Amino acid sequence: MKRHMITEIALFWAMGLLLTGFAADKPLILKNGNIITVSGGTIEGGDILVQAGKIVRVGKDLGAPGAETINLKGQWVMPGIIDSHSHIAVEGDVNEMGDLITSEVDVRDVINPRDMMIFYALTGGVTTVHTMHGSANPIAGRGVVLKLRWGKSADELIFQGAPLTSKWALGENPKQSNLGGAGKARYPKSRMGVEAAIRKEFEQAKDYVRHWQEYEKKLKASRAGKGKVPAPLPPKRDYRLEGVADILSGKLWVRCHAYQSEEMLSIIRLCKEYGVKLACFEHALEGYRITNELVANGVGISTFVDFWAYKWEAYNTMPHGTALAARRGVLVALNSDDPERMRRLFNDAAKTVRFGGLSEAEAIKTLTINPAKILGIDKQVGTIEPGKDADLAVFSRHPLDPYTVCQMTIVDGTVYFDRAKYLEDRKKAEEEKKKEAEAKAPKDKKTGAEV
Amino acid sequence: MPDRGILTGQSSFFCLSDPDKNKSLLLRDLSLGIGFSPPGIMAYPSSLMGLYAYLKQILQDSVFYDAGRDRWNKDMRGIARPDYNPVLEVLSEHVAGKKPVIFLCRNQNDIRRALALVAGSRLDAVICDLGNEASDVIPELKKAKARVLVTVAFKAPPSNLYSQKGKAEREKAEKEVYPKNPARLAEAGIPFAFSSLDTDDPKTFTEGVLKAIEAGLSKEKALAALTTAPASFFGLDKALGTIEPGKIANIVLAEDDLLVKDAKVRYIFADGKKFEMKEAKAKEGEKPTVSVSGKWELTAEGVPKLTVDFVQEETALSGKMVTPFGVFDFMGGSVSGNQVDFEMTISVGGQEIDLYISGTVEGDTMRGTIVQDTSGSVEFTAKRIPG
Repeated sequence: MKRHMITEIALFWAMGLLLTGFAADKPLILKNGNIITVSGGTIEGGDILVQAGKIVRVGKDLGAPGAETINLKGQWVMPGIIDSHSHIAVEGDVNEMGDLITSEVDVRDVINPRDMMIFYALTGGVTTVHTMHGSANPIAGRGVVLKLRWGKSADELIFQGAPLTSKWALGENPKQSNLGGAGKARYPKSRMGVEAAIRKEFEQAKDYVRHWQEYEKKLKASRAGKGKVPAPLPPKRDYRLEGVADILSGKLWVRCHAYQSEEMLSIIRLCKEYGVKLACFEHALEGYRITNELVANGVGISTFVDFWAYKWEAYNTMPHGTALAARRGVLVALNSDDPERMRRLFNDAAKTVRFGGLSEAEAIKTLTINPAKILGIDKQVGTIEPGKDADLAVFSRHPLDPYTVCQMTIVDGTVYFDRAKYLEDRKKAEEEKKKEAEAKAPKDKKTGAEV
Repeated sequence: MPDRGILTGQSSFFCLSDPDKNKSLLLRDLSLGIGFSPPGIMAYPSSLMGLYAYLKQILQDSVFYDAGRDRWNKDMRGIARPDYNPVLEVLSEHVAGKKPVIFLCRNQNDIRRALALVAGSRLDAVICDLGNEASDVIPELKKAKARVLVTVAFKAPPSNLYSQKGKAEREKAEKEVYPKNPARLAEAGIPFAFSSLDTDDPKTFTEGVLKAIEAGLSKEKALAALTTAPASFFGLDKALGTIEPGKIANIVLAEDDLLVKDAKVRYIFADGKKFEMKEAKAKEGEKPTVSVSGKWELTAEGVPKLTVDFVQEETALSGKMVTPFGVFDFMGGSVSGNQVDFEMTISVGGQEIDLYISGTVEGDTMRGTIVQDTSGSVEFTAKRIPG
């Protein structure tokens, strides 16, 4: 993951914002904006009324007593962007390389709420991210959905009610993560071995669950026998297999890193056989080849619009692939996989219109309601309509306009990024710094001139 | 205490009174260290998140192991004998709360992770605050009734905003924010003791304590954090921490105030033995009788062939070592008579290894020892490469 140059001033400002922000309980009205609701078309010159972090009403000429008002003056507002594949705010490595299956690992344990990338994502209108384990393992760790409540604790960043995910990976990455401790190569060395590893783990997890069920039965019998039947010893707990059991029970939604259509088809079959909830293929650059199968099985793709050929398994795609799959009814989400791309996802969505011929409405969906559906959070976010969380991104022009700039980002009705205020504070900080430097500069005692 | 790895090992208490450790030992195998730094990418766990999952699992394993052995000890008939596991044997005592554990926390996130492991367990936990951020976690520490070992190097951890802001902001915070950590803990009533764990020598440790006082910590609290608090943390308050009849005679005698810059410590008594403090004389090395500048080929059993390129300027020695893992520089070495001494750090597979090398030169041959702090020493022979 790249770390980008961070200006000191941006941080100075960002820390100041932690202390301010608008009170969430006071009603908030966004006035006179062009509202891309996603669910009900675009309302030109419309208002959004927000209370207690939720959207209450969307329409024209809204008012509420004592409301804080933000005049949008003809700017554009869309639902906060949802990045369905990222690795920000993760402390330490995003891959647990040390073993083949690492379903015991949980990204929630290593969230760093002070990762500056959270703030920079906000500057690009992003309000929700799915942050996840890397792609070194056939079955890797649990991922989590975060709301970008910058300045809050790790626990407070977690998107309540969002299903947890299980990251899987097929093809080259798990194959080549063969560092092998103590000179041993790690299984598997082939693409087919990756799927076999997943199947094998499923069978072990089923055995594990059965052992616990047998134990519960014996325990019941022992209690009924009132001491005549000795109490059984519980089986040894195994967090790795419990993670896999959570996949088999459907508690965890599978997010499977894959490029090749053949592999995706075989994983669809495997998940069907075991009743596993396969939510989405990650990257899925050949997804446009198997749209019927994806649609029939309700599997989405989380992908790039024009990023490919960075390795051999990522060759067979084209800039129209994303739009093609979307037009065939596949649930398509555009993701960043990178903190820098995260800040300009709206540019990526515009490319699906320019190069793939998607409608503007369809393009906006790839950043909002589509990733929301893939993540199981479409009841809370993804559109601008009453009852939903007030997660909003305000742009100077239409978000798909190449010259648009994100002006303001709101999460749960709280302004977490305000470009105008940011620039003002930056100027103040610069002046302050200048003054400080001047005060420190050595002066001639008599004349006061700098020496 | 050992401080590398995940389950780092057990600690012991010594009185600094006698070089014979059997005489100076106070308590052995007391607390167990638990660290949050993955040892490398070649083994499980290679990541912080993997490390945390591993900890959860092994703490659980230890409970299971304990229950299994208890059951078998009670009645050996009819059930399979559980395997003996030396690691879980030790760990289970700590997991049962009979002995303390010390979490080596590099930042406030580590402290929260440690407290999450402690909650709902019987762990008797001490938090070692290597990142100087315990004062950002005060409500959580209070709730857990945690004891804290505070370090005084005052380096901002890379996870925090100050470090992400760049060098200037980080250094400013290290000067103005981090030294306030002990004072803020004292103000909140969190029990804490000072630890020298991340300072290089006693001098920097003392300077760090003084910095904490400058930043608002009272001298009384500072003194307590050096005496009564650590004694009580580890159940040694009957023997240590105060000057009173019956206790071990460990006493520092200073002219005037002890907790000031350039304090004049005259005597230290350890186990009643008097040690006089004198100004250390600068060590005068012998004049070098050899010149080692140039390349040497170094061979040792079980070590790949190494080339060392020395640069000697009178008694000062620096240079570089070419290894299969890369080229590593060293400096600060010395040549005295025909003795060569230098130390260096090499990195193998992401893991840093410290080497201490000393040898004797005779003509174009050097013989000596390479000591590696974790795995012992090895004899080497080096030959000068002509040209």
